[in-house]
Amino acid sequence: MHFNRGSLAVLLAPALVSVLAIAPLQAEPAEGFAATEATAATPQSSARKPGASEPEDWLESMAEATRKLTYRGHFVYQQGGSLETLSVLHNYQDGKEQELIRYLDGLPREVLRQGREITYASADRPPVRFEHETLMPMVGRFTGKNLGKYYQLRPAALDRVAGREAVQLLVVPTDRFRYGYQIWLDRQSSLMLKSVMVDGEGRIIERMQFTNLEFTDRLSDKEKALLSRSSKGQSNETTVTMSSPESGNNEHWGWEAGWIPDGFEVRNRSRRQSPVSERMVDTVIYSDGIASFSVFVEPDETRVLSQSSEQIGSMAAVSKVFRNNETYFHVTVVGEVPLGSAERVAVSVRPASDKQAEK
Amino acid sequence: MSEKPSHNHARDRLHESLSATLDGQASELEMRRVLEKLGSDDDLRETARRYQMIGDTVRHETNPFMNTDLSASIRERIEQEEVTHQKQQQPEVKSAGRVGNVVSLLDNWWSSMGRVAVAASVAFAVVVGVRNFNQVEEVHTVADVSDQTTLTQPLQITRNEYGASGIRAGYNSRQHDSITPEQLAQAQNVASRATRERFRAYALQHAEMSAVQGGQGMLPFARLTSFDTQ
Repeated sequence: MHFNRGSLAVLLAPALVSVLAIAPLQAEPAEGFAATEATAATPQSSARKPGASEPEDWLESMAEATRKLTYRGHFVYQQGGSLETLSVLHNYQDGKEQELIRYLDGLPREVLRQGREITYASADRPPVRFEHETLMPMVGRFTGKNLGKYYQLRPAALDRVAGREAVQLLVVPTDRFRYGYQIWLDRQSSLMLKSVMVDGEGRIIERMQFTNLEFTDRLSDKEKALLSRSSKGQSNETTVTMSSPESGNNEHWGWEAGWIPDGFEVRNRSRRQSPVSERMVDTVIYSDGIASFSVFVEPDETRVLSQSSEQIGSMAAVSKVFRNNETYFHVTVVGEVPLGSAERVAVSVRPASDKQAEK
Repeated sequence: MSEKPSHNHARDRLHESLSATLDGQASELEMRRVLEKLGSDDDLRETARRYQMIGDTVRHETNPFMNTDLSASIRERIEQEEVTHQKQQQPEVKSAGRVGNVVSLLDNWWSSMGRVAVAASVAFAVVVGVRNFNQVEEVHTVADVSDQTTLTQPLQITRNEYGASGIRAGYNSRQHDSITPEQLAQAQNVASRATRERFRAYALQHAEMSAVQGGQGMLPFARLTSFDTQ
């Protein structure tokens, strides 16, 4: 399976040449050549003309590879001083996606994804299952109309990651409202093998990288069983049901964000049971095609009105309070954006004007 | 790495105005207010620096304040103008008689702007009521902390950088005029635990929504590890 490999190869032609020249000096030249030959032997994607490739296409092919390939592997995730090992098992069959992510260090935790249903289980608390009651129109990432306006994408080099040939891309933001990335895509499959997120000063915020990766046509029965488990009906399970705000249930409170960084659009909006109180929480996720942040607004019932603005690992987390008449609301902004962006969004959240209050 | 909560009502307003100023959407009064504070308030300058994102090498937009140090030239220009109406309305902050007491900041300048009230959670877990906006010395009231917390004592806020904090009381509050450091520490502890729990819970929800959108594979969930190691 391949995606847009042709166009990538064309754009990277100069880089390829230089790497190939060096290849015989490297430790495992045979492998490098094999991969190159395989690529060369594959017909170019006929759908796209070489040179017509847009940055969005590269990322789109990456997203598609992530969804539609079957693979197993281990990867490390580093932020700040902490490094963790995780495993992933991904299956794509008959149009259905299944994925199991396990955190191999510290407290045992895992995420099981079956289609659009996601269950997060941790050894120290009951599993949480997310259900989507209404199907919001899902706009995939990397489909932002103006992605190219907010990021510049450049091929950087050929590299090796986890024993595989990789194409390194630079994703450079055009302003400071979002982070930059270096992304290594598997040359054969376009799957993301490594990702480094950097801030405006070039400091590394996070790093993700496969240490081994294996593509396969079929998973073992044991693996299939793991992916097909159901926690449904388990007595201690917490279910989070997402409903669209339009469905008319529950309380209404209007709010609006006065400021959103350019290029970010609402990707999904729902109202769900708050994970921290008995109330409902209004949830909106914004994305610019690559980065995303979520805004949560819920009535306060704890009377512990705390405000905070923190960089937690790769995530900005901002908590604010606003008041609408006699009710206090917690506004929480969480996302992989610079803290300044999250703060500006958080302080701009306010009760909607009356006309819009029931939107 | 982190900016600890020391925000208050006026502070939020100021940040909001700052944001509006940077977007070129502030009213003139707001802008003056921001500029005036920028001169003397290090923390606000730091916030402005973050908001303004000075130093971009590549830009896709321009606004009048891009790459401009707001503090100097503009302020100078504005200082030459009449600003008496603003100064009149700015609350005088008096120092409190006792350490730990609160002088309420009269926020009527902001109220006069017709802004929507933003609740302040002054100093962590405590809400201070302002009974009368036309007095400077207020009766200090503190929220009755509910039984969902471990707090058993009413608490007093610390003074913020304006020397005071205030909020239109919306809570059942009761009068109170002293606090021990232990109580304050306890309140802070409760509040920061509540915040941490909220961040953790919402980070999971954010990861879930990001993952449903797809595209970055396992990254949204890998990022949760940050919250687990907190």
